[in-house]
Amino acid sequence: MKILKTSALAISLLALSSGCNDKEFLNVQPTGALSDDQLNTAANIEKQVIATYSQLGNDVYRAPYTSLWPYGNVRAGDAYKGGNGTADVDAFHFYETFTFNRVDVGNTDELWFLIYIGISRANDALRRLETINATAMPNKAIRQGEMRFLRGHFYFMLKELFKRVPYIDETIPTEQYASVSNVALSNDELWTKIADDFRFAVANLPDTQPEIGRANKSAAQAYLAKTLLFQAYVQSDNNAVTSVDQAKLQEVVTLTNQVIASGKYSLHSDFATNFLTAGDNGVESVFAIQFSRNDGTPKGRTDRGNALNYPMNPDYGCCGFHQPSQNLVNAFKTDAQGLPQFETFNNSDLSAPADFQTNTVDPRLDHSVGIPSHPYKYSPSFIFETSWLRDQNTYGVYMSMKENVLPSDPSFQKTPPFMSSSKNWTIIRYADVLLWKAEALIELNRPAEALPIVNQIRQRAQNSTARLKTTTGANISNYRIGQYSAGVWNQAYARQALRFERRLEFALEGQRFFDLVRWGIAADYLNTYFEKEKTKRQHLKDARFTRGRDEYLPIPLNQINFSKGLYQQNPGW
Amino acid sequence: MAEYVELRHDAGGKHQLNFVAGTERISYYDESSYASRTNFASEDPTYAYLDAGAANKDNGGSGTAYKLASYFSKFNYSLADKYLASVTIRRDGSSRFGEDNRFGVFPAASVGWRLSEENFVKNTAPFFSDLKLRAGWGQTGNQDIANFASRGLYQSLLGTLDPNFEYDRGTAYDIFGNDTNLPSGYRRVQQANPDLKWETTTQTNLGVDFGLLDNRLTGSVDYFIKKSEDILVNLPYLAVVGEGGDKFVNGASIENKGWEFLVGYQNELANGLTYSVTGNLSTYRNKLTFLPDEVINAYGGNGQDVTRLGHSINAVYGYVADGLYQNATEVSEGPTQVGAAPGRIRYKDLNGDGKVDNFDQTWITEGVPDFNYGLNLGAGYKGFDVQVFLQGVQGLEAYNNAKFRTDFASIASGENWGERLLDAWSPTNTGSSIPALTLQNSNNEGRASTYFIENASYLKLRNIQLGYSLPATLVSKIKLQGVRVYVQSQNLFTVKSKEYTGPDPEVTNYQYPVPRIFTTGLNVSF
Repeated sequence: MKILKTSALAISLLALSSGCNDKEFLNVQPTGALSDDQLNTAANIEKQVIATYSQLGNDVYRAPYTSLWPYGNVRAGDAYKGGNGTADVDAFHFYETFTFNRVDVGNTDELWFLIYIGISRANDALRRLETINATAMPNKAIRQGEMRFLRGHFYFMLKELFKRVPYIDETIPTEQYASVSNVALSNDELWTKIADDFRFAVANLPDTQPEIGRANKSAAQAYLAKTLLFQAYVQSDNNAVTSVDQAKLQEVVTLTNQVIASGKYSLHSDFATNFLTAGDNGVESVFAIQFSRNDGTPKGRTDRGNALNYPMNPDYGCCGFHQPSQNLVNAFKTDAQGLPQFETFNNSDLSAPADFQTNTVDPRLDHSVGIPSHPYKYSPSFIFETSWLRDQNTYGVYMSMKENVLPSDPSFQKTPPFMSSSKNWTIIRYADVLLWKAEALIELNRPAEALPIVNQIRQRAQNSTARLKTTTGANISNYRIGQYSAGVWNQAYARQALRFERRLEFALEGQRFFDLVRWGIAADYLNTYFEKEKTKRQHLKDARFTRGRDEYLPIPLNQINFSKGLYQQNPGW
Repeated sequence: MAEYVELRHDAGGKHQLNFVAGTERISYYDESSYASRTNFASEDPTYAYLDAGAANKDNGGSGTAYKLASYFSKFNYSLADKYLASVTIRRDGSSRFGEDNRFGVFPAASVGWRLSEENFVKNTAPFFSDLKLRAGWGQTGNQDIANFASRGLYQSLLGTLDPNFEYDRGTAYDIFGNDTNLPSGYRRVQQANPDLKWETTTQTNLGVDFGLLDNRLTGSVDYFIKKSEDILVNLPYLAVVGEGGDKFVNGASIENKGWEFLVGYQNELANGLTYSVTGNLSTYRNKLTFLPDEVINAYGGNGQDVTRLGHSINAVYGYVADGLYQNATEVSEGPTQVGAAPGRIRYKDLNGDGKVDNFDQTWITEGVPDFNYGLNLGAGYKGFDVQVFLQGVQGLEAYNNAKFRTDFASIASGENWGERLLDAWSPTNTGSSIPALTLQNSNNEGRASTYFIENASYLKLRNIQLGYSLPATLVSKIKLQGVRVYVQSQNLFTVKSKEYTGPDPEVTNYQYPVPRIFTTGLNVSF
């Protein structure tokens, strides 16, 4: 027993010497990090608002959710994928041709995730904003408006890409996220949720903000108009447009009128200004992603959503993606009145240098498309050559241009192998607001009111040739652009004109595919496009759009599996 | 810091008692910082101080810490060297776990019975020079996770260092639109889990050691069951959770069971020839025995009707490749498979619903060999010695990652192509099992499938060495202790299955094969 007693004594001695303060001893505070609670001060909530803005442009070449070029342009027949053959980022090739797209393409999953990061940052800020009182944070309501604006933006992108997505707001605790299905809300209810965020933003945001990067009331009105315009085209479960909601269209008109009446915005006198660094936050920019460089961050906060899209000449380097299609180039042809050739534009190709002189074209062609022997990006002596192309045999001779900057531009940032710039990326351009209004008016069967708007857009295009000059001062191409006259301007004609005008005005700006789906014409339009284009471009030989399926990307299989089968796949996949 | 007391008691020769109790505190703190510049006019070390660099001023720093508090006691007892017993109890606390779960208690006990000391063995089985039965049971704790694993963490990040290939995780934004004074927020990097606690492994061993013929023949047989519970895992999460959804949790249980056999014989003949033979063979089975709903996604399967439960932790989930489509008729008659075409891999429609999809995957290998074995041979005679070591793995179906490179031109785009592609399927080479050449992976043939599963069994001559030691009489004359010359080869040959298409079945992860090494040596001891 002596032994036992001794050992008991020893254990208690040890316990006394070091045991009583274990709790304190083992409480090691994290280094270099803050806890959730520490972020609930007014100053830190402001920072969480900034972190949400920051996610607007946190992009990567594999899933460019800022520019949306693979989803909005490549899927729409306005551009080919480009790059080094069809296997170079083959996911984009599958998007382009539809046939081989799959539910388990990793890029689609990453796209989904990146956008939900934006939503989670917005919800983080909103959750904290809800708890702080307005005395401690006088601008609480404004910041809430901004966060709901940004959340609306992120959900809008998910909606146009995936149709049915889980809707999660700041009131749902993280533990319950896994119980929110992507089909808990109907298609229409989801639109309404997105619209609600913008309505809140309209009600709470000031007319102008002291910092140029913040969303203001007009931006919210504009985005609400866009949302309602999309919602107005009522879609069936298999993505067919079954009717157009006149009340929503009327609201689109009201909202766009409010933006116009604010007097803060106008069209740049030269279309080019929209695509130059000097145009950042100019009169046509309603809301834009603010990129920056030489800003104290390691590599700059630059535009990664277009990082693959520079030509392959020595001044740039890489990577030759996003090549305009022959069909798009042909669409810029004009007739004797300077009007688009709705039915016949694709009967012959604009391709040889002489074609751009013997035909007449809309000047926006040379703002949008890099063409061999034409000056690139408004620099008369910087001539686009076929040697700048990556894979001419597969993808032809054109390169995109709007998103790029000249090598000498102060915003240009080389981050080899990819290229970038700190030029803003515009989310809402005033021209878009005008054409939403025109579209709503036409669908409300008030085409006469839409005519001056469409002509206003065309007038500006007509005036935008000052930068489209060769070294001799001559126009690069043979421009002729005219305005529509009232004579033939009935609803059907106006609809056709409006849709064509959007194509020319916003070519390669990430919008076209979503326009086609909104109008309910994607399947017919694209299969017609493929029929002809595949005779010119071998990489399209298997391309086919499946109606009722390809209007939307599939819900990523990973997410369906991670949701343990709660998420429902989109129809047809 | 450690403190302990030790008590010994020798109760009259036969009883041996030994008791140790102690406590230990470990406090770990690590801090690092760096500063750098580039563009030094001279690279001379006497010149290249930071102030002399002209560009790219950069610096950084970080810190991390953890603490462990432990109490332990051990009690050893032996009676007449025949009966042996040992009991250990530990109580360990780790700063990595949730506040109320930092401590875990881990007992262990073992007993031994040296049968060969018992008279009834000495009398009835005198050929046993040694015979001992062993049994052990014990628990150990695992805290091998991130230092602040239970905490919710937020960090600021101005911008990602590699903006090309990673998505940017930055939190700074040019809200003023002037490229300067970017404010920055915080992003979540980890979710809190105050319930996080120790992972516990319980192991039970039964064994017997034996020696025969004056210990010329020795060996042992062991059986073990090892069960890990509350396994720590960083949980993959639904994308809707957003960034920093990472969360360490306790979840699954995994069981390992196995046998180990060891037998050796060593002898010296009258003529001075010594030799020894030692062989070992071991086998184990691994199985996930418990899988709570919360952690299903951490262990593969489809999250729905197929989980890893009941399968090995090494098991691979994927499609069953069923040869190549030979012609258009086969393609049109086969189940719907995106990208199917002549010369392309045909995947099995396991559930027979007419399409190849998510629900046609299964566990395509358990990734556990039938057994591992080794054989050591040694002999010595008049200064010459030879040693041979053979080692092998039998019955392992492994995932041959090299096949991505050797069999496809479209998957590892931009890399050199493998020689096997010369024999790829074509309409005139229909006997080939290698898919047709393509630059575009429309059939998604990089997907996990049995196409990559190969028999990775092997037997390797790990080591063979021949040596000669100069006679001691000769060596001592030149005032040396010993001189030995030898030649040696490692991995001289490998016997592998014909089915295995890579260079080395031991290296299935597309890294360098284990090299063959030849060595000659001279050992001189003074």
